Amino acid sequence: MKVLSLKKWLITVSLLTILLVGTIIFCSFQGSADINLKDVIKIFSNPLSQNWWNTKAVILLKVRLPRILLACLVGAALAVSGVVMQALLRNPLADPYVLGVSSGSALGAIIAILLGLNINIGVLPSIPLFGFAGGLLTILFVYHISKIHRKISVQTMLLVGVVTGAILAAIIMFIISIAGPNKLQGIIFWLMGSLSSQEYPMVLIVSFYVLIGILILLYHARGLNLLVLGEESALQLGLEVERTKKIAFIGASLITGAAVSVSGLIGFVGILIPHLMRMIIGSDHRLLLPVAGLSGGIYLVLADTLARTLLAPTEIPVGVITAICGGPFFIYLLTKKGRVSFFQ
Amino acid sequence: MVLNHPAQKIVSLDPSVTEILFALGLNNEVVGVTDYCDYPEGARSKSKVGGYLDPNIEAIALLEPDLVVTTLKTDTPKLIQQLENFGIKVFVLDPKRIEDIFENISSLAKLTYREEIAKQLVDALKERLNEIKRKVNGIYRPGVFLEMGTDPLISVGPGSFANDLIEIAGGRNVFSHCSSRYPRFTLEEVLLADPEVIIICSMSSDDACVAQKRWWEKWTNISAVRNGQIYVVEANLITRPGPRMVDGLMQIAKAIHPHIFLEP
Repeated sequence: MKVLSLKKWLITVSLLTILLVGTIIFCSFQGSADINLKDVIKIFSNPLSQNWWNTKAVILLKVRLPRILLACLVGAALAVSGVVMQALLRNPLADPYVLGVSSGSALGAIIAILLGLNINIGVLPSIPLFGFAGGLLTILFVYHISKIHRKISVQTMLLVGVVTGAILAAIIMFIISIAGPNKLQGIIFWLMGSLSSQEYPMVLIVSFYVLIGILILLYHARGLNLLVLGEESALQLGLEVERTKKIAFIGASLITGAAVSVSGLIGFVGILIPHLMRMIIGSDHRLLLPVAGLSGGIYLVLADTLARTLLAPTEIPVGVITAICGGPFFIYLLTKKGRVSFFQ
Repeated sequence: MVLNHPAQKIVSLDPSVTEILFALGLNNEVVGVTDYCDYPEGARSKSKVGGYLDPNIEAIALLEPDLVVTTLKTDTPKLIQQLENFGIKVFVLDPKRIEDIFENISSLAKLTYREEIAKQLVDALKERLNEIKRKVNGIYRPGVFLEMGTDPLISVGPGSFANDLIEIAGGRNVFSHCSSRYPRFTLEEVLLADPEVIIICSMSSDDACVAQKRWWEKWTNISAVRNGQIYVVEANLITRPGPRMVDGLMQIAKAIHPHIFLEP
């Protein structure tokens, strides 16, 4: 592994941050309503006027911006979680959903939909809350089942996670087959993934979980570098292997759960971005984690903007865009590079 | 299709068909319905033969019906073939517009020898339909947003019954230019379209509709919200092509033109 200088880290991270902010601003101007810079200046130059909340201001600040910020958080969470899962499980096929968090969240959300709990608990809608709880319960279950003699076997955990996910998916299928047509629509759309109709309180809570989770994972980036070399070597190099694994699993699951609970199942970000970034900047997690987070945010903001503008006024499920745009590009890079530069 | 004698045992494979059969007074002749046939009350106690997309052939055959009535779906040709193996006749309806309902009532009445009742029923429905058409003739047509689904937002486009109903009731569907029958879109489009009337289609509990109505009330840029023109209509009334669709039409008309259709 090459030595990572502070200068390289700072330059890369700040460049991507600028790119992310630029993407957010650019995408704020995209949509059916024609809003340009002049309108924005008009909105902000006259904040006390009677009709300050005109339709353009509402669309820009209350409809587009929270959605874009949410896309940013969800994209970052999925990409970072993907990097961590691949490192922990030492498996290039791992993604944020591999341990069943997604099915657990989905089941939680579907139960809320079935119970007709389309109401708010405090300021929070009940469906995301149930989704988050379902995801966390699943990961705790998988974690404890995989613990043998106080140690986590990564292979066991992967298998337990996949099987748990399959069982939960079967339960979801069963519920879909017996649900009435009026509930069915809500369930199907939740499973397809969507970033619409979220407002600032939700964005704030998700950002709390995602940012804290990402910071914790960043703090353990060096540990992840060592884990990738193999648990034996990591132990010899003085790493508290079990503790690092535990924290990384819980951190990654927490941010996945938070993301899935508000957006449903958005595929591909968690596997495409980590591999792409490894190809470009290498696999030092101290740089890879922030880079994956920032580019995951950029990718999902762009994908969601396409989803809402491409066939406007009709909206396309965002998961369709993430897969159709990202997939071919990923395959092209693979063939060009010859192989996945997974863990050098 | 002609039956030599009136059908004695009928299985209905669509909630709208069930509603027509009961309206024709065939309460005793209907022996089987789908899991979704919940109207009228009498339909709930009939034998269930599965969903309307995937009915159970064995359950239908065991009821030994002399007539099965369904509406046209993707799998209908296969269903007809399977039921013909049991010697069961299948009658298929394919309603596209509200006027087709009258035709369907008449043709079902012919098969069941209920033409007398059918004529009265159809005449009464047509009379109510024409009265609504007469009253809205030539008056201003406000923009209407009919909300079929909440998260994501889903409305109705051309080719759906609800789109027809809005037009007949003297409104202008703000999403009539969408390419699909049930278009999905973002909140931004609703704000831009600025509908004068919002009609929430109620599919789940009343609580959810109240919550949704309250949610809309935050978006005061929308004319409908400022004028307090947000209404709730039961989904079954505007999606099932049965006799009650005229009731649904009346509810939509009341929402769009309250000053004309609500008694002072």
